[in-house]
Parts: sequence; C-alpha cells; structure tokens
Amino acid sequence: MPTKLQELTAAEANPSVVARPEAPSLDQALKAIAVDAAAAPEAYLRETEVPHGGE
Amino acid sequence: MVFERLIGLETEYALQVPAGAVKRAGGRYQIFRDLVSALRGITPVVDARHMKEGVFHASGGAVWFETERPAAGGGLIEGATPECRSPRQLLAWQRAQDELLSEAAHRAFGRQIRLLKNDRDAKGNVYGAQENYEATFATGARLWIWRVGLVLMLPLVLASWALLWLLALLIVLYTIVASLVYLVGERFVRDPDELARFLFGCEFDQLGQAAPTGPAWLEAWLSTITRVLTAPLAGVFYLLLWATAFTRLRANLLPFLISRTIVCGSGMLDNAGRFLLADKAPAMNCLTGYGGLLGDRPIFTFGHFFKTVYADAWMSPREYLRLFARTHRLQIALGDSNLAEPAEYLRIGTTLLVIDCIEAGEMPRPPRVRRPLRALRAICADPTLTTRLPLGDGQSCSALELQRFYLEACRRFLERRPEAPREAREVLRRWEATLDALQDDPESLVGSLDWVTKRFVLQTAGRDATWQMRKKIDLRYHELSPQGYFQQLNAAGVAEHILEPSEIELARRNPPVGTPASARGRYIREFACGDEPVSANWKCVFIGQGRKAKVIRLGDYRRLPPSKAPSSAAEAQEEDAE
Repeated sequence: MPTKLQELTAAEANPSVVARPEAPSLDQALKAIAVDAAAAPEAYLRETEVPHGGE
Repeated sequence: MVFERLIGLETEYALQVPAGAVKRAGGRYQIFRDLVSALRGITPVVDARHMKEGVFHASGGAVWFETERPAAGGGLIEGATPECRSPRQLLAWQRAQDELLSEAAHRAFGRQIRLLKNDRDAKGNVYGAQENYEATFATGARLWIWRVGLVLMLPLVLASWALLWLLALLIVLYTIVASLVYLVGERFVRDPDELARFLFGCEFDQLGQAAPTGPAWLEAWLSTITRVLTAPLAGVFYLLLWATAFTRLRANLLPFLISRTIVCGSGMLDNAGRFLLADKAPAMNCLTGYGGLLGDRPIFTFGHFFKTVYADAWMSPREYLRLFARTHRLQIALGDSNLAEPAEYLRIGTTLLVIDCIEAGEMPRPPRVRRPLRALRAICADPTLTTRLPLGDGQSCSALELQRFYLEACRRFLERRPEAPREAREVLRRWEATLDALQDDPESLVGSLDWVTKRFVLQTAGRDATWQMRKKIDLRYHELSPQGYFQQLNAAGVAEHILEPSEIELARRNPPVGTPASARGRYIREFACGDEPVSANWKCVFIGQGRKAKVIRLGDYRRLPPSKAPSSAAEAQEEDAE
C-alpha cells in the first residue's frame, strides 16, 4: 500500500490527480517553509523562549 | 481490566511573543488572563478552586497558569485534558484542547501571540507534556509501609504546615507594611512608580492584574524560603515514596518508556546541529523525583504527591486522608508533546496497554537495561535505530527489540482476553505496523511520527540552511497556528489522521462520558452562566458561596461505566446534591 508521502509525490508528478486545487502541494509547502525559516530566524528563537521552563 | 482506568494528559504550551509584547500585554500572567477571557467567549468556563490559578471548562478539562517565577518573566499556560478512559477518547479531548486554546489565543491576540505545543526552547529550557494513568500504588507489605509512614510523618507534616502558615502571615504583614510605606513614600520620592515596582512588582494602579507573587526579589526569596522550610518533609516523604510508590510498575515500565522514544519522540536539533529523536528525553537526569523542585527532571514524577501534602492538605486536611488509598495517579514526565495524531495515539495507547498487562501480572520480566538514562540518550542520538543497549545479563538489544518484547507480551495478554475492547487490538495492530515500518522504511512514516516528519522537513526545506534557520524549523514545526510547519504539511495532505473531525468537534463541546469529567462538564455548562457563582476542582463542583454552597462530589463517577453514567446534569444533580 502506498504511503501518504508516496501518494502525494505521485499526485504531484501527475497534476490532474490532485484533488484539492485550493490545498498547497507538498513541494509548495516545503518551499514555503524554507522561505519562512530563512526570515529572521534569530528573532523567532528569541520570541519563543520560555524563561525558567516548566514542570 | 483493559482500557478501563482513568487517564489524562497535561500540556504546557510555549508562547511566541514578539519583542516587547510581553511587557505591552502586562506580563505573562496578563496574557493568561486575556486568553481565559477569550476562552469564555468560546465555551462556558468557571474558576478553579485549586492551589494554582486556573479555570475549568465545559469539556471537563482545565487551563492553568503554571507559575514558574512569573515576576521574573516566567509562567506557562498549561492545559489539562479531562479524565478519559480510552486512547482514542483522550486523543480527541487533547486535540479539542489544542484547538480551543489556539482559537482563544487568536481571538485575544490576533497574530501577535501564538501557541507552540513543544517541550524545549532554543535556550534549552524544558517544559511540555506529562501523562497520568490511574494505577495501583502498592499492594501487601509496601502498601502498609506507605500507610504507616504517612501516620508517622504527621508530626513533621504538622510542623511544616505551621511554618507555612507563619510564612503566609508574614506575607500579609509585608503587604500591609509595603502599602503603608508606599502611601507615605509616594509624597517624598521622585518616581512613585519605581517605588511601587520595588514593593509590589508593578505600578500601584495595576495591583490585582500583575503576577500574584509580588516583585521578583520577593518571589525569589519566597521560593527559597519555602524550599528550605519544606526540605525535611520533602526528603523524608521522597524516601517513603521511592520505597513504596508504583515499584512494580516502575521496574517493568522503564525499558518500555525509554525505548518508546523511537515511536513518539518529537525530534530536536541540538546546539551542535545534530538531530535527536526526542525533545525532552535528553534533559532527563533521574528516574524518580519531584520534578523541578531541585532542578530534577525525573522520568516518574512524585511532585503531585508532595503538592498534596504541603499545599492541598495544608488548606484542606481531608486531602491527606486520600493519600491512604490503594490507587493513585502515576505521572510520567518522559514523553514529548506530539503534533502527529498517530504518534500521540500510540504514546497513550501502548503505555496504557503495557500498564494493563503489568497490573494483570502477565508481563514477563523485561530485559534490564544498564544505566537507563545513558541508554535513553543513546537511543535519542541514533536516528538509524541500530544502537545496541547494554543489558544487565551482559547481552545487548536495540530499542526496536525492546519495543517488540513489550508488543509480544501485550499480544499474548490480549489473546487471553477475547472480551477486551476492539480498540486495544487496534492499538496493537498499529503498534506492530509502526515498528515494522521503522525497521524497513522509516520514511513511510512521514506525517505519522513527529521525529520522522521533522527530520524529513529538515532534510528538504532545511537543507544547506544555517543552524538558526534549522532551529526555527525545529520550533515552528510545533506552532498551532496555520503558519506552523506541521499545520502547513497537514494542509498539504501529509499528516495522517486517526480522528474524524466530528470527534474533535464533539470533544470541544462535551465532556467524555463515564468519567468524573462528565458530571463536571455538564454542571459547568448548565450553571456557569447562572446567578450563583460556580467553581470546580478535580474532585468537586461548588455551586454558590460560603456555607450554603452546594458541593457535588465527583468521586462517585469514577467507577461508572459509560452506559450507567447519568444522561443529564439534572439527573446527576438529583443523585449527588447534598
């Protein structure tokens, strides 16, 4: 049985199979993540600090 | 008994707050209050009657302000699921909680402040998830040692309470003296606000809205003094717990818990840029402990027992008597917050199955792993899953082999129980399929296991990126807003789902049936908007105030199977009202 990832890769190779035109493709999602991760990463690391931690 | 015990999850959420926004928002405590206000607009909510500040909502769960040095910039938002009975039920209520809090954050702060469901920040501060399983505390001689120990400890307990009452009195005295100093001093000093910040931790007109622990210097002093005053009690009580609490479970569970990291770890990028399988596991520094009291990070936490003695029972001595019971809450701190549904489902489901098997006396003696904390770190550092762990008998085995040992034991356990719920077999089937996939083709688990998915994103979107960019991928993977990377993968159809959307929708609005939460949630929904003040805790719902308050005890709902649970709050009220 093909995995989720294999299904998506196959669908992207044949765009007519993609069922949800409004949903981003895996490739688009990864590109968007790469672009976002490159934008001010140091600021994001600072902004998500949890001083003193928790339990 | 299969899948009948009460179970629950606690999750500490990190915040993504732009620079300066914490101050503008009035501190993390004010952020918590604003979040709760927004939550009230989504679901009925009542105040918690508990040592921590928080609220209970109509789904039966709670939201707390976890006060870790709030005046010094700390403090976390913690969600606690209602008590559930099956892994699927718990998964649904955990997802509902994630959605409710994420939606409340969006309503309160727009895109300014967002929630992250992770376990460690870029500086290495640790927080995150804890699991709770109702379990047999002890039997036979150990149970009697525990009970006799509780009686013998009473003089020490009473002495500690007396000291804490004295400390409380001194705090009241300080408040009076500080107020007088401020009222007199504000006429003579150049900057009265500075004086107020020194005395109260905030400006005078912000009193009541700021962190409830006063200025940072006083908070630090109180934290130290409380630890010193309770140290003798903490030490003696810890020894008693170590000798008696869940000893059989702890011994049999340990190899399972350290090896399940390969299934339910969330993955992490360390400071050297190496990929580790889990976020929280590398921070574990002891097997048992109170959890944070003295910098300890235990796998099995006893903190809730100690809180009962020094905090809950101090205010309500009846709580001390509850400690004599045979069953208690086993709390496990080794485990990551999961975004992938199958990972979270397996974390709860396999652990529950293993506990059921151990308590039934059907778990064969598991291999004894030498130096378990070192073994845990070795497992985390090896995404190839080939590391051999030294065993007590001189042999070695891998984490996968350890998991298969428990899988086979649970399979035999279920084969002898045809009456076991179908879900137990579904957990077993999914567990085996996941271990097979980890062995043969780990990449097939992208979208199902968090560490596999995060590693895939780091190897694709994060290829050739700097450490900071890769670390941002590590952290933003856990953001619950649509901009979170796991959410983006989900939108692209990568994430595998176990739950139907309707199950999460049901859990957002209703408590789980057949548990104490079912009554709690229904009372909250019916009475939260009424004229009388309503409050709740894990054991009771209080309607009204003072001596005339109606107290509905939820303990009677612990043993009710779902089919016998009252169908309405009115029906429940007739049964329980005092």
